[in-house]
Amino acid sequence: MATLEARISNAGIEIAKPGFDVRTASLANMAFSPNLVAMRVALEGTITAVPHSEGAPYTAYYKATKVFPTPFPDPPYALVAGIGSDGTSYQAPFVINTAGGGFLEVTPHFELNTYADRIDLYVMQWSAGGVLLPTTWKYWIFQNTLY
Amino acid sequence: MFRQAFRGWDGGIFKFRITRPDRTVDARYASIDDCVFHEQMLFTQPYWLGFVPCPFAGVVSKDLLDQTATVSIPNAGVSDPEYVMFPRNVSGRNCFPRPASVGSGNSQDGYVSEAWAIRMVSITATSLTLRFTKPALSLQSPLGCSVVLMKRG
Repeated sequence: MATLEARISNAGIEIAKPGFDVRTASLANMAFSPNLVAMRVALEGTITAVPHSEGAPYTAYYKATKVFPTPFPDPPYALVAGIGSDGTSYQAPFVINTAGGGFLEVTPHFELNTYADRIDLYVMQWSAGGVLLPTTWKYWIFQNTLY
Repeated sequence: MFRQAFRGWDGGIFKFRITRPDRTVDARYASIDDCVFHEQMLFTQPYWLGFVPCPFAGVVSKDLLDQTATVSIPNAGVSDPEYVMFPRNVSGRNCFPRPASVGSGNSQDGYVSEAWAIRMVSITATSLTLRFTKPALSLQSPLGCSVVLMKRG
């Protein structure tokens, strides 16, 4: 029987590594398997972080929210990047820790929270270690979920 | 006449390509940048989206806690995947890169805040190990970390 190295069936797209047969190959010998997860970009766009009235730990942050048209079963896989005024992309997650005066503060440059129905993005509003963070952020939401 | 789509074996490589409408390159020889679809896009398949619990999740302590956690992953024939980590904080939020946190307290009893760190230690074909470190005097622990593993293609 000839080796069948790829096929499209009601199981999906199956592609074996060269020399292996999709009907018998182990998962490790598949180049693409419908038994594993797949992702597509479900949503993308830009959001703008603006002042808000929430208290600690977000008093030093601007906030942007993107509500999904349809909620996912669980929080989706989401990425963000700040878009600088010169077009550069900002992702560095530097963290500033300060202790004293009865408080310990842990403040990343930004915080992305993922929920089933939205993302909340907090962006430090002051010059963080000499870096003035952009308020316009690109986001990508993938059609698959964490967990 | 060039082909705008090609599917099949060519030189021992399975090719599955559809070129962009504005390109005139033959699909059989097209680079990924010339394609709306290219088989290499399949070969970077994400193969595990899972959660690694923190070994000391729920613990409130002023002591340093530093432990690793290992979970099993499906053997997709990959030992050096791309990975993305989404820490999950004490209240159950997936926070990237980490939660902001402000907590009151003092240098004797500690502070009600989250100053922990999560590190990728190792990924083998069948297991994944993360290291969770909670510094002394920062009382709260993470719940764990969501992880995405992706083939390199």
